[in-house]
Amino acid sequence: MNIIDLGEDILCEVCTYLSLPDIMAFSLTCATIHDWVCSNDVFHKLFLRRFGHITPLDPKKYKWSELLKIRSSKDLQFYTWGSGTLGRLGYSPRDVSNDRRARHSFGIHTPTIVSNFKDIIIESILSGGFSFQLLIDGAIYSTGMGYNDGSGRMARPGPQEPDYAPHLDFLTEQIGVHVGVGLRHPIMLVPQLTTRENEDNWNERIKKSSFLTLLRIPSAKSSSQRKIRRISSGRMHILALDNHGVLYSWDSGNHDPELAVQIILPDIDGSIQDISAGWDMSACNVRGTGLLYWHSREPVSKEKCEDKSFESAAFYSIVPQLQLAINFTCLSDTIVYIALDGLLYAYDAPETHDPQSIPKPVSLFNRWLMEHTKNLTEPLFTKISGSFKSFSVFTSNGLVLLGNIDGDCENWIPELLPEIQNTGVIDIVNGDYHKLALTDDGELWSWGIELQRNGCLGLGDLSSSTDDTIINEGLNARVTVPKKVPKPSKGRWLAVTAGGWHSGGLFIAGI
Amino acid sequence: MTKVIIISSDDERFPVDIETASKSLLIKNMIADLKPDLGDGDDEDFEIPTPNVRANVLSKVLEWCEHYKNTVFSDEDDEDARKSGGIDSWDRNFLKVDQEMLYEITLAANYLNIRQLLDTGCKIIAEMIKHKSPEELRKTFNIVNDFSPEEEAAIRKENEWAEDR
Repeated sequence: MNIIDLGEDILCEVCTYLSLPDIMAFSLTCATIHDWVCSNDVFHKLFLRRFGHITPLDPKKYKWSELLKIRSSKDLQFYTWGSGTLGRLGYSPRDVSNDRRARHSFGIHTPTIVSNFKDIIIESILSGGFSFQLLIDGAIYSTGMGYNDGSGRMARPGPQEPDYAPHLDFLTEQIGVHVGVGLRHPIMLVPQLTTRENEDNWNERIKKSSFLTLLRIPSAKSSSQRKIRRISSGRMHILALDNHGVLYSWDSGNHDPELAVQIILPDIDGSIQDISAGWDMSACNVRGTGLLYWHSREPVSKEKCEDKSFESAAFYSIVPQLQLAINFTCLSDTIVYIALDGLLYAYDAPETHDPQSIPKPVSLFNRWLMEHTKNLTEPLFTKISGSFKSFSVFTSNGLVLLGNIDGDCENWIPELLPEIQNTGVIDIVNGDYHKLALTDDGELWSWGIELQRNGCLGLGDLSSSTDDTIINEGLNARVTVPKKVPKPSKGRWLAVTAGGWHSGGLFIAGI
Repeated sequence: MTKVIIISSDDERFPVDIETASKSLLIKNMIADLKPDLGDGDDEDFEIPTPNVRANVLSKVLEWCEHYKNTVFSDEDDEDARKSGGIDSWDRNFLKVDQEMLYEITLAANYLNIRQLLDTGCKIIAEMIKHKSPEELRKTFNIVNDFSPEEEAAIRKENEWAEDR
């Protein structure tokens, strides 16, 4: 028996455990194997495994090998714009030309390249309230001076008291580890990962290093095969799930802000399917249990610090009357989710158990869905995203509704913007008061409020605009209809993120 | 105690308990569909032929099922987690077999729908492929190169983009 006797299905399955260069080498062994493993299906699985389910560019127009090639291109560049405080943009606004700088705030109003990512493949980009997070080779990097507001005050969903503070000698040890197998092309900004080439170059890199931090996991979880596979950013905390199903939190309680706490969910056996870091709480979807959420966790004890596990139990509650959520988002004290029936529900998550508190249908949204999807056999909401008090929900026929969680959920009014309906929108991201939509032809649309004209919409200087859909209200600007974000050059946006007062995107030129 | 009799392609009979047999989703579903009262005091054994699996392969597969009969795999439905996990040391020792046996166990796991064993077989085969050149792979797996030099050069050029991704 020869390896070819395993057949196409099994060999394609084998390929899902291989890297792209290994698959390419394998495909060169003979014509049969080449035909099998260079299939659309294999490339599709590789794409999903590495870059997740949001597919930039329309898969009907491109082969999956082409999409994989484009998305993993080293020519992809990270652009940021919006408020530049706390170094969150990955550069100082002072180093940017005047024509891009906001006039009335420390911000950038035009997408501006973060120049240190040449030759790095960024798997995903996210935003917290004060920073961006980049997932690179299964490890998390955070921009700016930190993922919180820098005030040092405790905030939910951290512990009510700070974690145990270890002795100074302990801190000099390497107690956290870089997950993943290590970068083939180390990021220039991270001194411990770089090769010292020459003194001038090194000094230049050190100078820039204050704009990017590697977030580590406890060394008790050290393994070359351990990689972060899901990440979610809240206002002042980050939640991540690794490929072994272990949950990590970086929040205001961590004694070393760069070192994760491992979140334990006592008495929960099921595997964690998905995570969401909200404004001031965290939630996860657990198989067999449903949605769990917590507003705080126990402090890391001396014992858990010294055994280097940095474990902390979350004071979690379970959303009642729910076995499975198809998709969910954690906002400010509220979880909004799509249940198995494809309808939208909301749960005002109390900090302490309240038997009176139960999920409620988001009635006006559900009624709208029934009325506008009559031709479908199964009218469904399919995907939801959100931040702070606003959310966006997709329907199975490509429509997008926007909502706000003020007041009783039975009275939340669906907002439908004609500019983003049936236009190939594949992702909507939400900052505190602004939104961006990414389409499958690589366009970005933005709208909402720029407080202090911080530039988070990326539409340039709005202060002297005569467009009647751009309303200047004192120091703030409000854009009432989605507008195209200008591209840095001919090319396409492939990913987008928004948080707090800032935004970012991955852009590829020339296609 | 009622047994499930699994019969290999070369007519060897393997009596196993229901828990062991049920690690195969194919057999579990067959029991549920054809003999749902099996084990409820019914003394009659239940025979299941496996025409694609030779006795020495079936014996190995059932050894795996026996070892894991009381194990609930928490990531059973989580493809992402299953694919990301490493290879258990017991599994690695269990699959220290020659290439032909490894392929036959993997094929049997696929046929009998034993997801974790199939995953492990695929991971071991993937490890044998990793970090090798096409020439080394041909030698390792005894593959005959049927590309002309021109065809091979064209594919190499076509694949250049993926070399360091």
